[in-house]
Amino acid sequence: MRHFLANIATYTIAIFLISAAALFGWGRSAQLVISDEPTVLQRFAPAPGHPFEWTALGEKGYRRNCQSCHGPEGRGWDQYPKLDHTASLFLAAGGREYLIDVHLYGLTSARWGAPMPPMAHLHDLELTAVLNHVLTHFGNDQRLDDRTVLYEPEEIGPRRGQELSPWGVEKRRQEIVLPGRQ
Amino acid sequence: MNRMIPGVFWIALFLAVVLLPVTEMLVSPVPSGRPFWLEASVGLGFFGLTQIAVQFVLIARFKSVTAPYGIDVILQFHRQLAIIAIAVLVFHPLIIVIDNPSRLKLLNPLGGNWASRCALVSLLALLAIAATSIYRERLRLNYEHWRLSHLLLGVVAVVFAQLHVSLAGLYTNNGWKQAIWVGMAVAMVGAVLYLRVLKPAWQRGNRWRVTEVRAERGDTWTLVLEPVEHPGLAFLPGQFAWLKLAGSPFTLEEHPFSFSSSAQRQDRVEFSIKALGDFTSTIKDVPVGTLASLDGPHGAFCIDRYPAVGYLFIAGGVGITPMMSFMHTMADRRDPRPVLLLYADRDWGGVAFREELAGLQDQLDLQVVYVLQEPPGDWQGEQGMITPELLRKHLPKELILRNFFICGPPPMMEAVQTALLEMGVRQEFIHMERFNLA
Ligand SMILES: Cc1cc2nc3c(=O)[nH]c(=O)nc-3n(C[C@H](O)[C@H](O)[C@H](O)COP(=O)(O)OP(=O)(O)OC[C@H]3O[C@@H](n4cnc5c(N)ncnc54)[C@H](O)[C@@H]3O)c2cc1C
Ligand code: HEC
Repeated sequence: MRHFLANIATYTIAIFLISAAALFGWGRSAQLVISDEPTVLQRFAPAPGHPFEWTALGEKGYRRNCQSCHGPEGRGWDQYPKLDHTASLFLAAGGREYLIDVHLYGLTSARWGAPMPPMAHLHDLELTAVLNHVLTHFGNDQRLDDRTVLYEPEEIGPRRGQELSPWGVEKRRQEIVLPGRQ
Repeated sequence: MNRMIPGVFWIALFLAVVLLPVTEMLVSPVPSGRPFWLEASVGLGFFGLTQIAVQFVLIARFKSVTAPYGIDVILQFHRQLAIIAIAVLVFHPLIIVIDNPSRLKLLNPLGGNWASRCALVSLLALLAIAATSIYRERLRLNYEHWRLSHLLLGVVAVVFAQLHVSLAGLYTNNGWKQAIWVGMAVAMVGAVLYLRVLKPAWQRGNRWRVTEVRAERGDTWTLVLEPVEHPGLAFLPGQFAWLKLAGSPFTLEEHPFSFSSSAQRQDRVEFSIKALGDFTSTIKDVPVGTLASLDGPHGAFCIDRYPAVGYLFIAGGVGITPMMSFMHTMADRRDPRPVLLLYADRDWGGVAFREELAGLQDQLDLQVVYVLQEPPGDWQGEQGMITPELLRKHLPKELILRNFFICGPPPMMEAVQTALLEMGVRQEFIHMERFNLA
């Protein structure tokens, strides 16, 4: 009898935990944390007479989504690259679009023992802010000048929905990076 | 019913302990939510890890945790929950790789990063644990070697899984979250120190001395223990204790045995041990005066837990030992309730305690039916196996209010239980003790 009840308890616990994991997955993927993220993000959105306020959002977004791999100062570690060459990618022909694709579809190559994961779950506003944050930090700012136009949120949407794999992104990278350069 | 409350309480606490560290990570700052399958698999990973860590608490034999269920049920929980946790932990990387196959390179120990390498070590340790535990007998692993490797692999699995969580750092992204996780892992794994260091240290002050080694029939020896300068041990009839002989109480070599003596005597306990393997074959040569330590009492196989108007004891071979404790205790208490004992064994010469049982029949309302597999030529009694017919022939008519206690070889216990259920005995009146916890 005791063993029988214990079996029921075990099954209940198993089902409970798997449902809890599913609930966790749903809550997280729906960005249901504390408050509804898209609503909060809208407060940063550009509006007439009020430019896109990306600095705070970009810093926070970098800390939340990138820092665990690329390090707090963008110096990288182990199998994760430094982010000091991002501006040169950005400035190369086609680089502006390429950088967005890296974040939406991920990147994998023989250069590193780990892939860059796709970040398509980031809201347009947050992704734009993070990209601008990287471009203005970690030494990238040295390569940019006053005429550089940073990203605007409406550039992200049109690049979503392509059939691109992390390997496909690597192919695009080959096209924009000049041979002999990183 | 009073066992129901703690019983439900501990399961609820278990769920809280498994869920809390995950909810804690949803407090700001949190990374932006990623796609469903990725996050669900992370959820599985976290639940799997805490569930593995909780195993160390389950097996630490805390009396308040084990008492409501019986330690055999706790060990059953341990096996089942650990297997679920390992399955869940295999799905965690599987889903992540299926979600984005470019992550496959993380499984290469030369590629990947320290976070993924730690995860790999942890998962391999868990798979080794599962394989050596499920196939221990087929792999012919010595019990003591298995136990030691089980413990070490378990610690490795939790330590490296925790390193994986800390290094990946996506969710444990600030000091206090990191501290809660590391603290939980250390506390739970630390429970093993209680079992293997603190408790043995306490046992050093509560040692026992072998005062007699008595030969019984059927290759069985009764070990009589008396306390060394302490009042002894209060146990319930039918319970058991882990016995460590000689050496230091810190040894990993300990074997579970049912008390075979009366629970009314705390200052003199007996174990009756059949020589079946390495350790049990050495009992006959244990010198009088040897020091011993006991970890007990444990177990829920006892008549005091299940009051009834009368009892049926069904024993096979050395499974008679807890029944001897039942009957000696009842005799000492002058218990008038009727007892029927069905006692199966191979041959008449090897039936342990048959003289003692004859003596008990004078003190108790006790009827004994022997069932011999290889009866002597002039045998008048029952022979063969305990079959449904045999049960029907001997069981009293008013079955409903009796409680059944069964202990013997596993096939016999299964067969008897099935037969009893078919005869209409309610499941909650059938109690079984397996002489195997592994
Ligand atoms: C609750 C309970 C009560 C028991 N009561 C009695 C009793 O009253 N009399 C009696 O003779 N036997 C009893 N046993 C069985 C006894 O514990 C085993 O026969 C003994 O541990 C075998 O050890 P061994 O080295 O002689 O045998 P081995 O041949 O080395 O082992 C045989 C099998 O016994 C089990 N075993 C071995 N070592 C241990 C250990 N340290 N802890 C747990 N299991 C082990 C393993 O499944 C192993 O495969 C009881 C067992 C349990 C679980
Ligand atoms: C799970 C770890 C991980 C996370 C999180 C991560 N990256 Fe990466 N990132 C990588 C790896 C690995 C590479 C190198 C991939 C390659 O070149 O094969 C990379 C490459 C890059 C590159 C260089 C691309 C190139 O063509 O050289 C940029 C820029 C970048 N990441 C930015 C980011 C930003 C911004 C974030 C946060 C939104 C982020 N990464 C989050 C692992 C990560």
